[in-house]
Amino acid sequence: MASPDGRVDILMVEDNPNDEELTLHELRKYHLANTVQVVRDGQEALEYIFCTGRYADRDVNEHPHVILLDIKLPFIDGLEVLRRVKQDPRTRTIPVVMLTSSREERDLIESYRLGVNSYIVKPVDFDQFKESARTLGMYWLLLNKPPKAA
Amino acid sequence: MIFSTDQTALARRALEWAVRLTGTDSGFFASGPTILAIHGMSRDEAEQMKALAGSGDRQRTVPLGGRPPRTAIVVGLPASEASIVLVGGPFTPVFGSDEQAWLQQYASLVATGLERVRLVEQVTARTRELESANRELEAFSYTISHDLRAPLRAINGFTSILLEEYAATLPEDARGYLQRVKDNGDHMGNLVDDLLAFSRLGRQTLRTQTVRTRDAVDRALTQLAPETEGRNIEIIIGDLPDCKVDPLLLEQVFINLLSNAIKYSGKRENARVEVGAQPGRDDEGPVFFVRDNGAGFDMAYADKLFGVFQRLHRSQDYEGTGVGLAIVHRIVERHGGRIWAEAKVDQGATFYFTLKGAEEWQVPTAA
Repeated sequence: MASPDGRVDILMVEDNPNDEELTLHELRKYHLANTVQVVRDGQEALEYIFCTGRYADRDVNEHPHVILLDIKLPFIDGLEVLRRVKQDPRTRTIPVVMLTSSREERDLIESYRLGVNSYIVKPVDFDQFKESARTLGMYWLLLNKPPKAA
Repeated sequence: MIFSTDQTALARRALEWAVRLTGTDSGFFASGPTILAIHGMSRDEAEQMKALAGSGDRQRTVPLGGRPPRTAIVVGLPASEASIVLVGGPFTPVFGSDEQAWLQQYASLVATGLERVRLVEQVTARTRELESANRELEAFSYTISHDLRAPLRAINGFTSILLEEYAATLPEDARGYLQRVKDNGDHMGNLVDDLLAFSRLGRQTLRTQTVRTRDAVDRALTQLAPETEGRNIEIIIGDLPDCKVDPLLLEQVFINLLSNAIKYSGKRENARVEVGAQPGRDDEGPVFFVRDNGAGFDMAYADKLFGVFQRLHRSQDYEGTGVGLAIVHRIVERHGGRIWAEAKVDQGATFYFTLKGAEEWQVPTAA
């Protein structure tokens, strides 16, 4: 779903197709879902972000506006993806939003320790879910001005 | 020596002292079939003489023959299957009754030490089991938190989309059924969340400080404001002594009790909710109470009141998950207090609780 010039607004790392569809549904409603790249696991997320493997021909300085990252992912989990993104000077400035089912305090604390920009518990209540998807898209795509890549 | 925490170290030291005490030159310490310590002889020799050990808690002397002749003194440790066997060479002095009495006293000291070690080992093993059970429980609630919520979100999400965006194309009864799916999904979501909150309570550390009880009540009422909106409800707050508790947990107690009081008085023309405190028994400080003039309940079921998922009202009459009072119960218990209730059907209910011992209470932390 990347735009013709290859720009991606949102990189969504989500292995649950239901959550993906529900989030996209809301983003679409507010025309925020034009350029969403969905990847299914932590390994693919890292390949995408660092332009290796399947995404070797991508430009690493071409940042998504925001990464929506689930914590529980196959192969490499969200916390590890977050750690690598925030450790690398090339990708450190990309805003990362943890979007997860986990209400565990230790996940939250670990995420903030690793430098996450926002942490959102996916609500079971759909109205709340819509609200988070909408404000999330609005905030990170329209309001937040990301710093220029170093 | 008798405070040693491990059996082998205790056996080794006990044997050394016994050798010195008796002036023998070698020996071993056996517990049942296991030789725990050897002094001045090889393991083979000790194994060969093992048959001498472990026969009763009396002291006996066994001639071993040989040239020069050797003698074994077998000291059974009272109330245990352990014994110390001491082997004397040709220069071992002959034992008198005084020496035998000392040795007997010494044996019972060692036996006490051994028993202590056994208890410590038992406690250590139990603690390890508990810790592992705790970790399992944690992993379990983590799984619930993540894996159970995901399918619920899908059920609720897609049902909502159908209801909101496709309602016009659906027959009325189909919309009704969808609404039921959604209501049940929401209810299950609440159950999962409440259950998680409940299980988290057991693990989280108490952060106690002196709290103005009145502040906790006020904050609880602010949170509950949406539930009293548009209702004729009188809320009376009496004098409340300060207490030493975890402030967030105390607030949770009042939120749950007041929310119940507000809910179960919902069908009263003039609902009345009262919060107060009265003197309690000398050893447990003041008794706080939350009283309402609502639906009450039959005291015959009072013992079920604080169980998880226990409800004393039909969900058609009063909504709820049946976890609120279980949470209150656990919080009060963790503060070393008690909780109980008095009620009559249709004449309201009063919940009493104490918070004694908050200062002494410490959470066992898993290693």
